[in-house]
Amino acid sequence: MEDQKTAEIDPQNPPNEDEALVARTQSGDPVAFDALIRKYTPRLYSLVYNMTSNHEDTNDLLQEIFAKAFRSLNGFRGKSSFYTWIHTIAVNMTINFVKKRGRRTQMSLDDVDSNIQNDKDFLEMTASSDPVREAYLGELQKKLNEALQKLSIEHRMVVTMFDVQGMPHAEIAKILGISEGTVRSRLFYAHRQLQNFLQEFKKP
Amino acid sequence: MQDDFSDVQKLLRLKRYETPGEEYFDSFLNEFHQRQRAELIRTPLWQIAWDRLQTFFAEVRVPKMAYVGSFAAVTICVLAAISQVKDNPMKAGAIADTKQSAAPATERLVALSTDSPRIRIPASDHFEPASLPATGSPRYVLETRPVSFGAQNSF
Repeated sequence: MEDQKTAEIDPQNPPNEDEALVARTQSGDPVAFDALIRKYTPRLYSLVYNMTSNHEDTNDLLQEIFAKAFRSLNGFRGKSSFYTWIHTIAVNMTINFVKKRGRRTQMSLDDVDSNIQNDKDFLEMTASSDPVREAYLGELQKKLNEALQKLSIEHRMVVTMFDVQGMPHAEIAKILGISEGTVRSRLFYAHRQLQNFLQEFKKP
Repeated sequence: MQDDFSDVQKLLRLKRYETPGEEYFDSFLNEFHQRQRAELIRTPLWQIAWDRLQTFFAEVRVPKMAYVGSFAAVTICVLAAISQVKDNPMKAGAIADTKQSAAPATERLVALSTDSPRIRIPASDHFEPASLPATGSPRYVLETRPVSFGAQNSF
């Protein structure tokens, strides 16, 4: 499972491509930064969205994240990869935002992609008629987001990065600035809490 | 233990299907450019500088003990400086006075040649007005008249 996750990450992030785009941006070519935005928007959107459960907040925050990255790019010396660097900015800004927002959580959820109907896990869980599956889908989305919002910010972050985004433990540890052991223990605790929150969805 | 959570993990993986759609990602870059232009107009320079500074320090991960260590070092230096001043308050003032008075009085010796006598040359480049002798009464020049006074009365 771990190897599979690592394999999912690497092809999306050839470091040389990022390095070249960063170097071009630093030498005054703003079009190169556009390419970095296009590349990282879906990934960072998923990170921020699963932390906020709100599309509008995610959009605003993501705009600010890229603006901050652009302003600070001259200070980027390549000690870490651009992937890690921009994720660190996104994580810090998202945590600050969620802390400031506090409990004023208003969900504004994105539509579930229709491709979910072909997902093996989803089909397994909803091995019944289509209307039941449709009803299950809406309810599932709501319950999942509610359960995630009940987790602490730190636990929600590792769950989002590991389970939703499929990042390996080492990468999460590097981005969050914690040890791999801490990542594993946070995941364990978060999974146990989520299991309690989602008891009714565990076995369909 | 991980197997106990496999159902939860399967559910969480389904969250990948919650996306805003392709149109959103297409228009995101345009919105970014628009916001960037708007920001250029209204953001003061100090705020941009502050943002950059914050980002720089966010990137640098300093070990927790480093803060304590650097604080302790600064405190020790300050305490040492204070105690030194307390022990010798006159000395600190005297050093400043000596520096001021010593500068014009210094002279350097220049040897023109091996045979020539040594000549003392003042170190400063500007000339000081002749000072009155420290002892004795002031001298007055008597029997002298201004030129204009003498010219008026002589025919």
